Amino acid sequence: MEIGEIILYSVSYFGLYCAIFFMLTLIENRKKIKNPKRPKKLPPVTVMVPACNEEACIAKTIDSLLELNYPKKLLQIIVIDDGSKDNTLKIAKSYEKKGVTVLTKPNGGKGTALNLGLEHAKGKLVACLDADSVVEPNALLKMIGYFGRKKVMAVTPSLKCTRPKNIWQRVQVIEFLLGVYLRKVFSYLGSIHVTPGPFTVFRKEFFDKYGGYDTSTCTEDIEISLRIQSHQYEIENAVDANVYAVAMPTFRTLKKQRVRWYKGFLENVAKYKHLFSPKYGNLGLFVMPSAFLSILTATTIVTYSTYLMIKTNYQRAINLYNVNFDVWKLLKIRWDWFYINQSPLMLIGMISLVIGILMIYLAKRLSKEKMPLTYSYILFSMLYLPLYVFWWLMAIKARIYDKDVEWAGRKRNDVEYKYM
Amino acid sequence: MSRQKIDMNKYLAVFGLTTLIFIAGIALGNYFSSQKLRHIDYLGQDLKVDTLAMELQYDIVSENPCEHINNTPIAEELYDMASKLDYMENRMGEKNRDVLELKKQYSLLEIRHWLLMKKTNKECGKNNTLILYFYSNEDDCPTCQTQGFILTWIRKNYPSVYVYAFDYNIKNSALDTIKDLYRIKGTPAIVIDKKTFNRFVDKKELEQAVREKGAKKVTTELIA
Repeated sequence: MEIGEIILYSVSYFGLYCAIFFMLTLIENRKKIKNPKRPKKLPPVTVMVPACNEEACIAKTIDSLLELNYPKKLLQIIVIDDGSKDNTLKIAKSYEKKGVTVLTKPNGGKGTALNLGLEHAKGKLVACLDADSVVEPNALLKMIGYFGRKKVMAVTPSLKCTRPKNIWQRVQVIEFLLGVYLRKVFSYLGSIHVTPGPFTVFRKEFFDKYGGYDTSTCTEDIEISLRIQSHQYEIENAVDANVYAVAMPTFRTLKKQRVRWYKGFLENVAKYKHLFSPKYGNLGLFVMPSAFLSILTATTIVTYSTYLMIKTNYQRAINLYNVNFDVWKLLKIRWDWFYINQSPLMLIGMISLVIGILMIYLAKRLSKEKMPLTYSYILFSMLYLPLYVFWWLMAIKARIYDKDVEWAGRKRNDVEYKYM
Repeated sequence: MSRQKIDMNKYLAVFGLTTLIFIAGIALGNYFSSQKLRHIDYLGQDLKVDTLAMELQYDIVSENPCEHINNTPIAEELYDMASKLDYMENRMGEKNRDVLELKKQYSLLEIRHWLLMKKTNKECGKNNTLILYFYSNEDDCPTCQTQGFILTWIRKNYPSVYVYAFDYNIKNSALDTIKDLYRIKGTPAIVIDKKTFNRFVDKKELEQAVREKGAKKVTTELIA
């Protein structure tokens, strides 16, 4: 057996182990899928909307909050304009008559905007909703029951993408659905380590006790979740509480967003490296180490496959060049079962593919998603792994050179929201 | 904090299950590989029988053998076996014992067919061009893959050309005799009838050589 094969077998074993572990966790906890009953006396909730140049979509975000099925007197909506140069502030102000509080400040980043919001928040629970996201009317009610247990400091929703329009968005639709599945599984393992920016609900007392958002990081949502885990509190997930964000529409914006996320993940993991310990349960023993190993394994697979692909195609190109690309008669291929690849690695790969499809199916079912996904899944299977590795390599480079990462902008007139 | 408890039994159970699936995958994959090798073995046996049958056919119809002999189906079987052996060699490695054993058998069958073709050419006045090609799958022959590809192209474009490819590193007395006879010194090496090229031969030169032997290129219209 060659070294390359040994590596591929090890990587496959690791991937299969994780997939089975997560699947088994979901099966083990299948009776706990239903959200806990909400309390008779609902707590006051503050939703903060930090916004910077979001004129194209902020109205829809605020509208979705105003349509939330929650007693209006218990719901405080705060829009924090973070030094926008467009009409964001003007649009937000037009909602003041509907009871929306609008704050404005010079541009300082999302963390600073949220901290300003926290100063004005009156709710016992606080949530943040990015200004490019919309929330389903019943999402908050579905999440609220989890706060019945004192140890629960945060509840995450199911973050999904709006209807995709191009290949990059199709890839993200599946990625987000996989996130829905994994976040539910991680909640059973007490191991949620990313609370998505759009509409994670927190107990305000956590901020009062341990400070507001960390403004030094580019991913404050990862920092806050690791901080919660670090203090041995719990993060829950309401899998059918849907929040929709617009997927990044271009390769460039997607790359910027992912490099920021992954760099932020690296920064925060370095800050909370003590979490890599069995003292923190499954999170420290398995989930965090496997998150790191998955980067390594994905990089190994992609690098090795690329090497093989280049080597084979280089030889093919030389061969074709030597017959002046006259391949007409060489193209007559006879069908023969013999040439179907039935190697152990291929069979294990097929098993992984089936598990992957099962994971998407479960995520779709759990979050009651109705969007057709076949085409998106095919694109995801072909493109995601190389993209994932590319983003990680860029993020590692940005981390090593301590390069500032940009926020991904998008053409706002391209935005379309739909409850699906 | 009951949910954060580490359930070691679950970790072990998943380890057991993963190992089981993994071993099952490897066993199944190896089973398919062994079935494929058996298939090649059967192909070799069929070829052996067919070649023997043809030799006997010569003796039976000794009055006028040329009217009854048709070499083409056996040659096609040989190419099929070669292509499958090549596939298995790529998959299982050139040092795999089963593959090596099958390659030895294949080389002998090729030599037998080559001799038969020579006989047909001589006794029946046929004008088939017979090419012997020596290659190596080890790192010492970087041009062998391309040389093999060009020869496949020649074979497909010139139907009267028959190519017999031999792994230079395979040891058997018949092959050693051929190597001595045609003064083969390394790889790639090509013998066209009696002319030996101890080097890489490009498409242009090969086409010229087979044309000199009377081979005619098949046109696209003819194939259609």
